[in-house]
Parts: sequence; C-alpha cells; structure tokens
Amino acid sequence: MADTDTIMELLARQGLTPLAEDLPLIQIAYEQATDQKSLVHGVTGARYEEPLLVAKARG
Amino acid sequence: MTIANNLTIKEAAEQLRAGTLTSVELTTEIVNRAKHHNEALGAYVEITEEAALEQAAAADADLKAGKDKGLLQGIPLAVKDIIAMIGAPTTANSHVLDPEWGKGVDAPVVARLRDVGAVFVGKSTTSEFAIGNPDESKRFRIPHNPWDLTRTPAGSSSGSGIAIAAGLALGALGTDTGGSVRGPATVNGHSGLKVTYGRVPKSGVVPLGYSLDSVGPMARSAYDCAILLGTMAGWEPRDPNVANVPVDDYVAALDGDVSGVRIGLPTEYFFDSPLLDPEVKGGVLDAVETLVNLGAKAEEFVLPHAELAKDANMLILLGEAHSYHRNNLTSKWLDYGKWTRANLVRGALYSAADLSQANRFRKYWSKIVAEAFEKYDVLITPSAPTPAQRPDEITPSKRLLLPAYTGQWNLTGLPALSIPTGFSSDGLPLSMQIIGKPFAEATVLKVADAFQRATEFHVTAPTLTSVESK
Repeated sequence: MADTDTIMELLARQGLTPLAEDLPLIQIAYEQATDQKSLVHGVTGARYEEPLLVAKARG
Repeated sequence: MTIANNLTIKEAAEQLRAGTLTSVELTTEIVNRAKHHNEALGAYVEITEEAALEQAAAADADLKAGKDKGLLQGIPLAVKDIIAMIGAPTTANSHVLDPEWGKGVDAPVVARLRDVGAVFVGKSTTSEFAIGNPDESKRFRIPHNPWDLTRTPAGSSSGSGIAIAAGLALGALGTDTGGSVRGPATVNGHSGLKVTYGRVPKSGVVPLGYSLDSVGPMARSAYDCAILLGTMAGWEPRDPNVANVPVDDYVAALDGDVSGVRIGLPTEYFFDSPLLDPEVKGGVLDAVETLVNLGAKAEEFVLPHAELAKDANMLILLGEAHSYHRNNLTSKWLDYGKWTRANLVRGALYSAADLSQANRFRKYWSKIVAEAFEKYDVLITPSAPTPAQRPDEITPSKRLLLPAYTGQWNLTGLPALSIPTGFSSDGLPLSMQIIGKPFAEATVLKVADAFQRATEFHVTAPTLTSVESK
C-alpha cells in the first residue's frame, strides 16, 4: 500500500488537499499511476533510442 | 397511439413521409415515456417538452408543405449534458460547472441537427464531467440499466445509452474519450459510433481530454448512426479540431455487401484474457462467422502492446483532464462528486516525462496499427470483457484488473463502432467492436449494417417490466 504522507505531499505541492475519506480511492489511483508510469516508460521501440535504431538499420 | 420502443430512425422517417405518423404524435409518445420512466432510469437531466413539441409541429408543417430537410426531420433526439444546446442549461452533471456555460448557444453539432429539423427531447445524463461515477450525495439522478436496474448503464454517455435502449429517444449524441459512447451502447444493447478524431466538430462541448474527445452518434442501428453522422460530420471553420476531409454518403454505403472485406481479429489481449467472459467472446466469434458466411474474410493476428495502449490513453486522458480541472480542484474539491475528484486527481500523479512518453508511445503504436490496416479493412474485438456489471462488482481496484478494449482507438484516433451480438444467459446485451481506418466510418458502418441485416439483436428492446414495478 502506498505511503499516505508521500501522496498527500505530492498533491499538496499542486494545491490539492483531499479529505481523509478520499484517501482510499486516491491510494488506488496512486498505485495505478505508478504501474502505468512503469509500463509506458518500459516499452522497447517507443523511446528516444528509436532514431538511432533506424540509423543503424540503414547503415 | 402506442409506438414501439424499438422504432428506428429509418422506420420513423418512412412513416412520417407516408403520412401514417406525425412528429407531434411521435414526440408526444417519446416525451411521455421519458417522463414516466425518468425517475427509475435517470436518463435525462432535463426534458425540454415544450420546445420539443414546437420543433415537432414545425417539422410536420414543413413536411406537409413539401419542405423535406432529410431523414432526421421530426426525429426525437437526446443530447448528452456536456454539449451546449439552446433552451436547456448544460450541467455536466456537476455543481462545479458555471451555470452560464453554453447558455443560449448550440454547439455546432447540435446546430447542424437543428438545421435539418431534428427534435430535441432534452439533455441526457452524463457521468460528472464525463469521468465520474454517480455520487448519491449530489442532486443528480442516478442512471440505471433498463435491462436490469441493478446493473450499470455504463458511462459516460449513460443517459443517451439508456434513452435509446428504452425508447426515450430515437437517436442521441454522446462523447467518447476512452469508450464513453461505446460503453453505454454495449451494455444497453444498441449501436454507438466513436468517430475518427476530427470527423465531427467538438466545440461547444465540455472537454475531458482535448486530444482524445469526439462526439459520436448513438442509435438502435448502424443504419441510424449513418443517418446521424451524415449531418454531424464535416469541416467547421470555427473549430480548430475538425479535419477538412470530405464527408462520405454514409447511408449510400450501406449496400449489405461485405464480400471480400478483410477482417483482422487481434488475439493478444483482446481475445486471450482469462478475464474475458466466455459468452462475450462467443458472441463476437459467432458474429464474425455470420460476416464470413456473408462473404467477408477473417483471420487472427497479433497486435502487440494493446494493454499498454489502453494505459497510455488513460494517462493522457487524465493529464489533459487534470489540466482543465486543476484550478477548480484546488478551490471546489467538495463540489465534485467523490468518484470524480478521485478520478481527476490521478492526473496530478503523473510527471511531464510520463505524459511525454505516453505521447511518444502513441505515435509508435499508431504506426503499428496502421501497418495492420494494410492487411485488413476492419478489426473486430469485443467491446467490453463482461456484460453489464453491478456497481459493487466494479470497484476501482477490481476495474483495474479487467482488460479494456476501447481506449486504444481513442489513442489512435480511429473510428470504432459497438453493436449488439446477442444476449447472455442472464438476458444482458453482448457486443462487439468494429474498428476502421482513419475517416473510414463508411466501411465500419457498412460491415455493421450487413451484420444487422442478418440479425435482430439491435432491434430487441428491454420490456421495462422491472422499471414499471419499481
């Protein structure tokens, strides 16, 4: 389970001050966001090395 | 007079011209039905009865005078309540939206329908700002699925979906950013088209995800969607998000001939998940078999990264939605429904690098999909992994585990149509999704129409018995 203080600090930096009752849903959202970040940065071929791969293929 | 609740736009237009039905008779029946069932179904935020009957009378007078404006003349429609319409406030089902927003204005897509004599029954229920789930602590009606009131009608174009299924409108406008036209069409048992990004003007619509939003037609049949789209689509010089691409004659394209049409079935993720309901899968495969028997060719293939495409779409959607709502979230947190604020806050949890990478993946995946479309005319997938669920079955944590099949096509901007394929053993609608090339709505509609000529799932309507007894 994600650290509540970490989430609240992250949101406070953006001016957001959720209520305690909102936290269970926000914790789920945080975990989902963390998973999505990992996935979206992890796919081979969709990163900035792609132009180099193309250049190598031509070479 | 009693008018069947599965009447199509095509049938009504024929009856209006044959003189066996007037728009006033049709609109009166539809409005009365909407008022009678609205408490139980929650389809409408506001029913504009007086204006609707005036529009119907004008349509009748014009038709009688020989002034035929086309097949939508005198046809009762519903407009999702995030779309501006003269004569009714736009609420977005929220206490946050400025009550003056869109006042006295028709969104261009509404204006186009008004110009051809359509009748507007009212503003249909939306999930709050097209992203929240119903919050009973707010003043808005809770929408219910007319096939089973204990099931979700899906969102965010919930009211439009309910209205079509229950015969409370013959056609409707919905919007789709991750599946909000196709989801309600799926679980309410009718047709719903997410158009190519840029096909239909979206100015005058409360935004959710700027680069993903589209306005699409919802109706009982693909044929009716084609009628609606023919009026909705096309260049709008005031709208920076509309493409200047010629509009096809969508109705003329519906010739029932699918011989030689190449259908691709992307197996990975769309068909092989253990969480895909067997009845949903069976319904899609049976429908494909029907199309093959009509002359189409189908084959399985692998389309990689589909799950990631769903996630990238969600990441972009949430980032864009948060940018729109950021200031109001800081000052009006409690005015949002609890589900809406929990959804919108997710956009604050991503970084600029996350959004940048999601957009980069978007280009990468769009290229992969474009390559697939060199081999196929359409792709077919399930529309959703299960039939309509009960709200307690779709908690946020459970929803994360389920596959989702619609957001991928918002990410790529492609047209995608959901149509019924049958019913589950519980009597709930099943559905499939037909995806096409950019601006190839005519092909998507043609395939769907051919299937619907051979089947009757799309004209099977709920009996509303459970609604009556509520």
